Amino acid sequence: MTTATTGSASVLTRLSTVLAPLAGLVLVLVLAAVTTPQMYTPDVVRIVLFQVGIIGIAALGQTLVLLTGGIDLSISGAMAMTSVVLAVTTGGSDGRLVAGVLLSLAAGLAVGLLNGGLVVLRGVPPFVATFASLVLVQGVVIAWTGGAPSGRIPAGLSWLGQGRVLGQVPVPVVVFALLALAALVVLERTTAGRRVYATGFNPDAARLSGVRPGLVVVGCYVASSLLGVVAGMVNASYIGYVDAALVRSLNLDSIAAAVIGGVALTGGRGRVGNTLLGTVMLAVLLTWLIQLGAGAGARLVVSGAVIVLAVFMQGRPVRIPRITAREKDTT
Amino acid sequence: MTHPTRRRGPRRRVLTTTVGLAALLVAAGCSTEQEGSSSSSGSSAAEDCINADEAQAEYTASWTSVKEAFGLTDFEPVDETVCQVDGEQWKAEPKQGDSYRIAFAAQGPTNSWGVLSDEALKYHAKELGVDVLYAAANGDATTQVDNIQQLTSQDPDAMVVVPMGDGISGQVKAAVDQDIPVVLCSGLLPDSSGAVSTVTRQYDLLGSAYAEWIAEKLGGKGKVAILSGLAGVPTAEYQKAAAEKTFAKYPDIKIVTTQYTQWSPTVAKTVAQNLIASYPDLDAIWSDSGYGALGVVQAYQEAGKAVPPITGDSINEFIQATEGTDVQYALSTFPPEMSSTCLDTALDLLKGEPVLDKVYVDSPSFTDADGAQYARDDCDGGLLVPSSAPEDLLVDLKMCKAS
Amino acid sequence: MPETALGARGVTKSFPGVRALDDVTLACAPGRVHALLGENGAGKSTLVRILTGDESPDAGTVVVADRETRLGAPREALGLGIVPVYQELTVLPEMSVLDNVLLGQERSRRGLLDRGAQRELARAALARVSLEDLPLGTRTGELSLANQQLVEIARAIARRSSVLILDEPSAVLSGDKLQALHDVVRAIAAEGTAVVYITHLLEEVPALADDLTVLRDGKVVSSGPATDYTTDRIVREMVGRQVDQVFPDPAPPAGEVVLRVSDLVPVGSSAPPAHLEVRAGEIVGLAGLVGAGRSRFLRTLAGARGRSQGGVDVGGRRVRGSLTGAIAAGVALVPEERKRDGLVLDLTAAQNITLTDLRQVSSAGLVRTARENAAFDEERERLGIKASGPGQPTRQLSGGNQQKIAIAKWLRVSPRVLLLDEPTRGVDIGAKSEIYRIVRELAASGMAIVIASSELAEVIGLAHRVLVFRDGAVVGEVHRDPDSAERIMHLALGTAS
Repeated sequence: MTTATTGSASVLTRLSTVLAPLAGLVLVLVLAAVTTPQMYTPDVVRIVLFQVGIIGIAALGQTLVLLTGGIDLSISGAMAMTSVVLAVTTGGSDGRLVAGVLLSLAAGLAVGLLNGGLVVLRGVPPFVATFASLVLVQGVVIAWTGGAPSGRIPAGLSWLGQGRVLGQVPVPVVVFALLALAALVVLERTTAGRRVYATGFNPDAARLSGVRPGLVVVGCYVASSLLGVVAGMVNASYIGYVDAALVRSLNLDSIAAAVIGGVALTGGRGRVGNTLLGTVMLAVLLTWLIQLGAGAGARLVVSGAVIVLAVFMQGRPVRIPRITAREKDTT
Repeated sequence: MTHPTRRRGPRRRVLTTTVGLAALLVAAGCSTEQEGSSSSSGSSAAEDCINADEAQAEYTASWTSVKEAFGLTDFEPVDETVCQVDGEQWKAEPKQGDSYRIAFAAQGPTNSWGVLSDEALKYHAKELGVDVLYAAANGDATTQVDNIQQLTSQDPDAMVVVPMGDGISGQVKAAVDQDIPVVLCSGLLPDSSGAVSTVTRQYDLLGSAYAEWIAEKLGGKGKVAILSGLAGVPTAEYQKAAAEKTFAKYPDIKIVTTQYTQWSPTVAKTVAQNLIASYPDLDAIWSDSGYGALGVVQAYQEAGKAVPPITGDSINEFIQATEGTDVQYALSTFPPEMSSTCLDTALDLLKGEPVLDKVYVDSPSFTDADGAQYARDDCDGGLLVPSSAPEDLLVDLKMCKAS
Repeated sequence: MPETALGARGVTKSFPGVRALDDVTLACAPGRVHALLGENGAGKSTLVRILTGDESPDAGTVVVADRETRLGAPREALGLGIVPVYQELTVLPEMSVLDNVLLGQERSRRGLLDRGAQRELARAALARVSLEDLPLGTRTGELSLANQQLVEIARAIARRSSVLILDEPSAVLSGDKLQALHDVVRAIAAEGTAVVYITHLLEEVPALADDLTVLRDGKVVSSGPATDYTTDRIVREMVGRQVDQVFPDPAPPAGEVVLRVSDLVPVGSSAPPAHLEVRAGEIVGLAGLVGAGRSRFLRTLAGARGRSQGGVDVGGRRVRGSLTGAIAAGVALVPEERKRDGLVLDLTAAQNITLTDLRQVSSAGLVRTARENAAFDEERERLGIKASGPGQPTRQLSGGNQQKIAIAKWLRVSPRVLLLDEPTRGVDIGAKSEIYRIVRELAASGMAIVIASSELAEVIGLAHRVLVFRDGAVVGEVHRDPDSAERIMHLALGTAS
């Protein structure tokens, strides 16, 4: 095999992970243009951007954990917890907003350390560990608030969920853009990012190379929980009240966004760009379904189907390099 | 109309799903009753019905009070046969000591509705000097089966059950078969459960009352959006069906879209933002929850548009949020504190006093005309107002501040 | 009865970079036990895989019952009565003895398992391996390893095999257990079954085998009645020619002792403590059969495995018993499983090379691409790595180039001690000699090198001296001389006088 074809194969491989979600996005956009032309009014575009922001922030955290080969089912727990912590510690007053934010971040840190600790130190499967901590967080919140979490989020935070930049762009999507940029730099350009990928692709080899996979994995769970807290703050300030009902859907959405974009559930494979693309596609899809007047059942069916399709498609890009490797070996 | 599990709390969706089955059965039970009474005009049922007229009058009263509160002209109760139970059959002295021991198979404090439901009964029992054997199901029907079994084995004088699902029917039957009178509270079970009496707010009532209010508000003509709770969950679907049936009477009222809010203000707000973009000329919004309505109001206000007439249950937070605005609304409740009525009913049975087999609890209903007076700035946003729960109990539960 | 129950005619098989079998001809007669002998990598496993239909030969044919036969899959071989019993037991420990014996050949009547017929069949098979008293319902996992192995053989018998292939059955047995196995094997052969018996335990051969075949480097060295062979002859034929001419004598090590291993016992090992001293510039080879403990020893030195006793010093300083401790002390391991442990195949060549010391190519936490590429170029130059560029995914490289990268990544941290485990496995002949050159050069530059290999020629040719492992223990040390290969083989096989 010549160098030239090897090079183009690798470009193709990389493109193919983006191609499927991109095609899906275009398809949805076209379908939306035909069925619900109002999708392209500024109002609806703004709704989509808001969704991109809130789902995207959680999906970034999910991406980090997925890259290590894990999964974080407690992100929405961190989100729900954040709104309760904010409401209870501030009592709705701006004066104690800083304390509320710091306490939320501390609680997020604790959840992340718990997840990471269970996975790394005890070898608990991530699915089980993070689901357990989701239940635990919910239980602690119920015990703490006597089963009646309620209260107001300080008005001083409302810019985060309701504000607009330049009069049009929702703040959450700007926050997401900044966080995504940070995640991009960390993953692609820093030594920490390199260790995340090495750990995700091959923890054994990484360990034997002097990387400490345990630290990397714990770090990713902590980052995921902290991003969950940020998403929780955005969400809480969007409505201004504690909304404990909104728990599970964002868990699923964050995983869906990453997977649809091409982040592999098996670890290592995936970039911030994949998550961005998946998030945009999911936000467009969800908004379109509401515009269509589809029920929650249809919404779940479509999300589920798209994830299944995305995971199915992931079989492809993985196969290309294997074939080239074998050809290389035999020649 | 609301269901206990609809209330706020992190586990709400799970609860709703498990308990939803109960409501499904309710739907089935109600419709057969309707068929029966429409064909035979209720006469056959009345034959073995003690004191039918008086019982029926109580039922009708719960509809009339809503009709008056919402200022409706055309609002007739759904046919329903209510009878009086032969109280003598259950009359009994306390089995142990000199006070009655009442078993309470409760939902458990999984959300604020559950907390208040549990505590209101306990509070009332203390007032009456009655002992309570308490067991919390934490919203889970399977747990409740165990709970009822254990409570039955303690041989209480009577039992109050907040049903978590159809699955508990058999266990309820077993308790009744051991001569323990069971009162169902804030929910229904199939007749096969053998429960002596059912104390609840009627499912049909609110869905159709909200719809009727909207229809009369719009003069029988306009575009309406329906915001239901969770798709496929009977509690939500049954209310929605009652609303759709009512709207169907008005040919000029058009239901332009049906959406689901998951009883979350956040989701409702997003949905409402979409509604504003897609249907800028909506005339009214039928919502089955106050939290849904809350999100809708926020979305319209942020968009700088007038909020269309809206319905929901009367959570404190919604009334506070709309105070001083010209938002038009009609609200009612599914009050948790009805559990104290459940206790009263159980004790009446033990004393041999007349009791109805279906006690349809009436609760306050009101519109924006006099909504402001119900706002409780000293109380939690999730409280259903006005609450008939004792003030010191609300303070103890930290739902309200001591005045 | 056929003359040849199972055999091979001119079988040749190549894998990338290596000719595993070269014109192999073999004939196993019914009723006889045929021992298949050879060093690690001599081609025994490949030959078994071809005889059982797991691989197909590039040239030549398999002979079954005197007929040339094409075996497309293991199913077909099983159908012809050729049943292998592998070294790794394949009994299911949670299932009963009955179910294990009849695994894959359950008898049924009208769709239901025929319990009666099943028990009869299993009973008969177990009787043939002297387990007639074993209750059929026993959970197989409760049995001793020896009995599990007999259950596995009973399974083969229940299949009515005409040929039984036993791949190192003696590896888990000893003493009278081994004697019992021999009795069973002899009894099976006496009933007309051809038995192919693979073993490293040469003392078994005279007692058990009727015929034997010695393989070396994929070729048949000799074949004949077992009575024609002495243990010395077998060892001489397994080892074959001397290989010194391929490798010039290394320059004698002159430096001070860099690595000192004292009283070392790896966690989980019951072997006596090991000692080793390696000077700067010295290459020490580790030889022994597969599973003799070479890899475990190297991994313990590198901190990838715990020590239950003893210490490792580098340059007179004690090394902590952890990976990071060993790396900090300048001990680097290029592990045996290159694709699993040595490299992150999905990262690029440059990313793999710099993974061991990212600080070198970064500042303020940011990886500097220019420095990373420079590091790659430096190693490409030094080791002659052939890659399209620093960005080429490592997965796409050939085995030899992958191995060079696995070595290069450790050269980045300038180790004082380099541990190489099977450095030329799966590497073609050209890359092999380049790796030999690299190892020699690194030693000449003052590194202390320990190299473990299954290829006797390789350790002897490269190393100043060779430690031989057997059953987890160091059983001897052999210096470079013309007879070293045979002495090593005797030590490794436990046949040294």
